[in-house]
Amino acid sequence: MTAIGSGDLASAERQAFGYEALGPILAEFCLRLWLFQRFFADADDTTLLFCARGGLRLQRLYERFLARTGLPAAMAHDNLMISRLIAARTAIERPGDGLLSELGREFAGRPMREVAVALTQRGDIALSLEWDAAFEGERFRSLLAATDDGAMALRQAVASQDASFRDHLASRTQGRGRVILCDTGLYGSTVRLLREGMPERKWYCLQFARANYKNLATPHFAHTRGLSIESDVYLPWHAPTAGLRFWHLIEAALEPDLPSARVFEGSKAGGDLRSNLEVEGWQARIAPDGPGLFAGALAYIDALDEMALPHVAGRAALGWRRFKRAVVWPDRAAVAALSLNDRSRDFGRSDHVAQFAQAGAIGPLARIRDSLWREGAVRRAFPRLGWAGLLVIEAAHTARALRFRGAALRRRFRRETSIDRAPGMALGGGP
Amino acid sequence: MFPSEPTPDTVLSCDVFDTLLHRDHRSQFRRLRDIAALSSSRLAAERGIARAPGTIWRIRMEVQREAYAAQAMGRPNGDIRFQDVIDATARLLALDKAGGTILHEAELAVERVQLTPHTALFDWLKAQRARTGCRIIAISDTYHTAATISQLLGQLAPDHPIDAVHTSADHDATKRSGALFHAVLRQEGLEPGQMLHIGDDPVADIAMARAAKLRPWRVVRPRYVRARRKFDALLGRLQAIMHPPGLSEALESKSA
Repeated sequence: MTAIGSGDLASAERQAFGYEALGPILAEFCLRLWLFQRFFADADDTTLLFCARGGLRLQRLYERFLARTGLPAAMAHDNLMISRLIAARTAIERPGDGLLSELGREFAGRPMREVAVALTQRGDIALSLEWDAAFEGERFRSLLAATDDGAMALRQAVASQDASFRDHLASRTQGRGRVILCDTGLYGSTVRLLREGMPERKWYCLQFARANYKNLATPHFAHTRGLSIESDVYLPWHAPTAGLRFWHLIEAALEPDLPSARVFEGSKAGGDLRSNLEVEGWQARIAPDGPGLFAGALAYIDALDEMALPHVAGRAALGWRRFKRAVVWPDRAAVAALSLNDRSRDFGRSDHVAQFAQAGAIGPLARIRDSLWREGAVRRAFPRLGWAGLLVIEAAHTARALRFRGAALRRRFRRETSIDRAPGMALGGGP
Repeated sequence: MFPSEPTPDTVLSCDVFDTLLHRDHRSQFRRLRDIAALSSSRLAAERGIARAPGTIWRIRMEVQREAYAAQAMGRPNGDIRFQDVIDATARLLALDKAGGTILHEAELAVERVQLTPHTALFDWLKAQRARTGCRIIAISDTYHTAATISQLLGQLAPDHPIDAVHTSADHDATKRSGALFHAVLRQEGLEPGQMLHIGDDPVADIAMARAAKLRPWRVVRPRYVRARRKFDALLGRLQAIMHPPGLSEALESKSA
């Protein structure tokens, strides 16, 4: 990751932040990942697959963590060249709620032709004019199932790519039936799509963070765990949820400078099946490309040994405090150090979104609202009085979090009360 | 208070924790803190190993949380095993086998102190045994083995009438899912209607027993005990937020 206007100072600060904050946090993630696979049933029939792109760096961290601490890995693991786009293709033959809701959110108001181009990564398929209508789930389903030449060519192109992915998956799982995906997060679209598209396998997912920020249905959450963060909203009293205030920072630290996996070339029979991500020297590009957040985190992991294990969790708590201070209450130095390049929208498209909304026709408040890191945007827009804005934001989040927790407690109370008062239950006396 | 007139061919089955053996007001949160404190002092006294209580507590909580999460996801009908929890905890605390044994013993020591036998229930069970000669078994959703539960019963209620103990850890099947009842019926060679199950949990001991066609009977702890335990858990959580365990030790270890 490189930052806008990066200099040696900002680079050193990013490295320090990576070492002091992200390093302990990611060490705790690795420890929890090790624990989870240690207790997961039927480890012999399960493969832990680290998902491109962020998962590739998580794999690097995990392997380094195990090597440094001497913890044995019980479960086979490997990488998986996947993206939401590739996962979506597995579900195209029988489009279900998972696929349609995901596409509906990604392509809201966009023409369905755009969805077709994203799925096939081809612009040469002649589709009927009906594909120019704005995306609508049921309409999309019927267009996909149509018998005209364009729809058939589209289905064939998707099926061909999907077959390549299934070959790639088979090469990774080596006959094992259960797959645990390991990815950065948040909603877990990939595992939801795969559970829908390939129900013959058992899919689970371990993420750095799990949050239903999309406000969609969550049938896959029973099989998806956020190892470091598991909350739908930021809770001011729980430091790890500060990760949700600037999620793109964590993603940017973990995503190597490689393209998102979109298509496969070659064949399993020919032994040259590979994704577009696997460009010349791709494995070397997973490593840090100089001082920065990931380099700092990796250096922290490299400094661990077996005797550091008892303190991993405690140091992670300190790491989260540092993270929260920098992200929720940033000073000018933090804003400079934690600035990111534009982030890709992805899902087969090439457009980007800026970390801080650009000044233009919109006013400063709208710019703050539309920024990926609102606290940072406040500090940028109001260098002197920014603290007042940060207080307002924190107060608003506290109120929201209290409402959220209150609703959760009420639901829990109702559930427990209804169980305790179940009709027809024989009630005996106490001691 | 208790069901009347079990017939001679009835097998009486009892839950263990908060049915045969009553836990005191301490929440699990507090119990693990007590275990961590005892482990820490024993490790220092017997092995000369310095592990702060906060560090032990935090690791133990981590292990239990991930173990149950993995179990719930990978095999929701099964259960984890105590020895696996101890092994993983010892590994993450960088302890050798002797250190692991101290953790194991500290857990059971705190467990014992927290438990008291439900004498009224034991008396009733003995009366039924004397009257009909019926078989009496214990069925528990716990990560302990039957041998450990038998040991606890023997220490706390030496003349107990329990003929056999079945645990979810041994069967890799829980009452909460109903699977343990089916496994026990198979092993005991019983028809569901022959078994009368007594327990405190409205789901595991009542609803799931009824779903397995057993005859369930619920015994409940007084409301004040349950309320005090909840309050104790809340207090523990507040303390953990105010003074996160393991944090100062992590700072010290870092500066060292």
